[in-house]
Amino acid sequence: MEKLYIICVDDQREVLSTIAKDLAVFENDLIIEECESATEAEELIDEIDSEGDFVALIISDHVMPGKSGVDFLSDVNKDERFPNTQKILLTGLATHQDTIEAINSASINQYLEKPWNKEELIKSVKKLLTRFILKTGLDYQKYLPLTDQETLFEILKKQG
Amino acid sequence: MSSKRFLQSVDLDWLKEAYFSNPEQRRSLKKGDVLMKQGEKNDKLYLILSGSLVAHLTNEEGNNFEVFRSTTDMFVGVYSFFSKTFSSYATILAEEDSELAFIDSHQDVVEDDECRTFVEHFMPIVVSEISARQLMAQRVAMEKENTLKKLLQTEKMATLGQMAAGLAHELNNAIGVLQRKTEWLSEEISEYLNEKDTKGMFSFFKIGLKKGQFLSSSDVRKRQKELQSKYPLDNNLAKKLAKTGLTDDELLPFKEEILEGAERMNYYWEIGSTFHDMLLASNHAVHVVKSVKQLGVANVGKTEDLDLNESIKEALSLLKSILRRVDLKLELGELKTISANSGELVQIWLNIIKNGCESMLNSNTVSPTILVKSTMKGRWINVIIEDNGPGIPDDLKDKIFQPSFTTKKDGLSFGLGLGLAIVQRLVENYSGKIGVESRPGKTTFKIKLPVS
Amino acid sequence: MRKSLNLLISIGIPLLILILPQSVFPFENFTIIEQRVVAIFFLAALFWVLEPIPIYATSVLIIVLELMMLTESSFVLFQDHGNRENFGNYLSYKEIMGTFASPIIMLFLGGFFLAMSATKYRLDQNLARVLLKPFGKNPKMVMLGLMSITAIFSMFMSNTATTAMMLSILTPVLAVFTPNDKGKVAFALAIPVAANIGGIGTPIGTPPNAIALKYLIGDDLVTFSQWMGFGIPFVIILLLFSWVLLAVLFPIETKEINLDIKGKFLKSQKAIIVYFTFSITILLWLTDFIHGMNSYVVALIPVAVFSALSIINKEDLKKLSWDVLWLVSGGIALGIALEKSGLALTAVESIPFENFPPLLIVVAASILALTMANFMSNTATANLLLPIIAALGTSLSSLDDFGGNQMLILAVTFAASMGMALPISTPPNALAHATGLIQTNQMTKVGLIVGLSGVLLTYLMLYIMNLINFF
Repeated sequence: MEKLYIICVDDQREVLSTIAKDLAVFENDLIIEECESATEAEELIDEIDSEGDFVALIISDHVMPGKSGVDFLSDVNKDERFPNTQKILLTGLATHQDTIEAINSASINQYLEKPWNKEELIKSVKKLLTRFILKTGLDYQKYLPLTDQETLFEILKKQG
Repeated sequence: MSSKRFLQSVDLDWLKEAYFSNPEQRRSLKKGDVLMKQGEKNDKLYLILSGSLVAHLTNEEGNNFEVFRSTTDMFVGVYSFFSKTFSSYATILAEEDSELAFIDSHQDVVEDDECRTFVEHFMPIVVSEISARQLMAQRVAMEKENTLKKLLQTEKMATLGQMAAGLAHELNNAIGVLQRKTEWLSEEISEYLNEKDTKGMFSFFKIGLKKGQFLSSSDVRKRQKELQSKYPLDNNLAKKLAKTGLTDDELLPFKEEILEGAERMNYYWEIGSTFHDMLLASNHAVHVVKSVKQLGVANVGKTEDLDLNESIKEALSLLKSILRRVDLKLELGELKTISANSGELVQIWLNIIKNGCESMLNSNTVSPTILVKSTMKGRWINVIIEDNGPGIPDDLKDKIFQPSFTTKKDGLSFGLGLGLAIVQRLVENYSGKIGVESRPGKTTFKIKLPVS
Repeated sequence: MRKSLNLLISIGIPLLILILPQSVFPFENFTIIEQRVVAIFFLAALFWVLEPIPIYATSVLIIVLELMMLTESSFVLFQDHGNRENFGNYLSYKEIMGTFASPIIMLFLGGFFLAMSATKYRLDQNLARVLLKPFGKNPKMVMLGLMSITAIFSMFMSNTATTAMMLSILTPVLAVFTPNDKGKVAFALAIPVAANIGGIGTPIGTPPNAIALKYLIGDDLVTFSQWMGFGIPFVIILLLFSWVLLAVLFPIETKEINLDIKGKFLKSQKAIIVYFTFSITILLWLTDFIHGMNSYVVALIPVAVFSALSIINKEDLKKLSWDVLWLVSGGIALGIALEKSGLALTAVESIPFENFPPLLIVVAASILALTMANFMSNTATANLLLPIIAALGTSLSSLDDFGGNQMLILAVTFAASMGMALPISTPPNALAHATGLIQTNQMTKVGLIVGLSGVLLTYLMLYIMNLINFF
């Protein structure tokens, strides 16, 4: 069975490990990776993809040295290898312009502001994982702990 | 000026000769003499032979402002003469001693080869005078706007500074409590674990507390793979163990129980490193609050007769930990004393030196060196801070002084990006100047501060 | 306005045919069933030409109308009520419905599964990258490379998908051409031309081929490997010709071209299964004479493998081009109706074709196919023409010396794939035209020359095949 990955990107190691810690509830069913820069994340998703595994979700900060989060997510959005990959922008320092850019060219699925609320983060992650699983055509019954019931029912209902 | 340029197409010399050569129609003005008054009769057209005149207008509210200024070879009285109102709309007086020639409304046309009329002779003059005055009006308006903009900007910065200072003051106590209590709690927990320690797990707590997570995320991944090749660990456990950054030697005593122990090792390490992060974060918050507080307090707590070199030394002592990895060259010259707030000066040096050191260390510069040099030049103190790091990319040079600009990468550097913005503001408060020159291998910050 | 007029004509004429008295039709022993088939045939032709509804919808409409009007289970008004005089024979509703799952459809389904898995596991992109390398950086050679790869891919994938992929590779390269460089046109045209030509290479390359297979049975049987035996050389020659033509018509000024296709071969288990299954399927198609499984049976192997291993999952299943499958089904159903009602034969016999020179018939039929294919879907052309052509072929003994029915069917089928003179002729043409780099007259010029040369080349090919006693 293919493995699912959540990629967390933030240049501050302490923040990064806090995100990962908050997501530890998912640890048994997927792999959580931490990256300190967009470039590092790019290399990692490249590797995950060539192993035939799935990058289900990327949670990225925006203001980072080197490539910004929005630029990184835009590139992922354009990459035909990751058509269903879900994207969260998690940031405390994004201008209005950045946010517009994030929605228009990176098509982010969720915008979370720092400092974030753990419950809210987990809820969003579940919702987006559910969408990823169904869009990719994976068997959702195998990933039930990762899914958000409400979203699951809603999408299944629509699919008829 | 522009009036003259227009007139070059007209034969000014001819006009002068034909209309303004009569020695009886001359007038001399001393500096301050009034040629004509606003609203009073004037039926003469004057040509300035030498000197300069200025025109003022008083409006209904009684405000007085300058409308134009004329010098040699320019005309005054153009409006009252040609509009046939024969009444001056402004008050014109001599700015310096001036010599004028004039014609009056009874002037006859002077014949020329082309039989041109009086109006034809003077039309170019009327037009060029009007346009010159219009240009002047535009320039004045533009200058006014620029001044206004500058004023607004200054005001904005001042308000921002006050706001920041107020905010910092409010946060100060809260942050202080957090910092103290975190310190206390980490000590208590440390002692408690030390007493309770059964399986040597306390040492993992200590390592975490001391170093935090010092491996980068990519190093963790490498180490994880390495561990998995040595021990039968699943992804999750291997990752947890890798994060602790423990070497093979450190793990050796626990080799037998590594499978059961990994989770616990990570657990204790993580408690330790969480405290590490909390301590760092609260210390940093204290530092930030302190810096922000200074944003709004210009000219407060100034010390006379301050030795600037002392403030440099103080900054260097605050940066001891980072300077251990950098070669420091100090060339402090004899300086005159300065009237300044010592804390603010320290802030300036601290931020620039820290930035330089970090850029060198982050880019793995070979033999990183930082030079701090102070010299006296006239009434200016020059301070040069130079590093041999990778330099500032051209596209970023314009941005480094903007708030929220950051290139921070490693460790605990909650890149508020206020650093250089604060520096610039502080330097400008002292009427000083800051500049930067940068190319790969050499980045130089130059700060000039006046002594008085 | 125009659309409703189209609809009115498309429905009005068939209705008229349906209510005319039988005596109007110039056939002997003309049955009521045959009259209804004529009406349905006209409906199909008008709907496919004027397109008041999508062409695949027309196919479904044909099948449903046939079920309601021609079978033993038809609507009460269309039943015989015991009056069998001049009524003709009912068609079997099972057979009509069966067209949805006829072997031809299964062959296509197999092709779709292969194509889809290749795309999903990026086999196409990676193969394109590797195969393009030997062609270097000389623009002319790169163009030949692109054309060859497009042709090869379109033999197994849909021509449309191949064109879309290759154009997306090409677009960034064309962006660096100088604005006046005619080479742009050459490149932009090379892709659809190669895709259209490449489709001829295999029975699953393009729907007309599959429809032809339906009539190439029994004595006229052409196997998968046989088809490739003559199809591939044909493709190679016509491709080289088009390459030279494009290079001469639109000289390339740019000196060097750098095609940068990113990616690496996936090495996950599933990807390897895809590579393996892909190769095995093609191998089995080529070796049907050894293992005894015909191409239809072989086509279902990847369907089973990919489904079982969730390489194609249910989300992917939704993305299958069901419209193409239905379009072909409708054609087959129309063919069955023409054949089983006896109308095809009746119609063919009513014209004294025997008196015409046999070769004139071949030329006339293929030119008709070429013309129709230029203005409408190639598949619809094949759907309409092939049933009648097949009936003609079997009834004409004068053709036997030249290759008989097989020869006639192949001539028409190939000609149907040569329609590529207009943006509307084929989906690849439309895609290339949409790039904005090509003017319609440029496309028409190239399309006409290649199309006509292709038809001539078909004659040459059939002549040689006859010489070596293929038929």
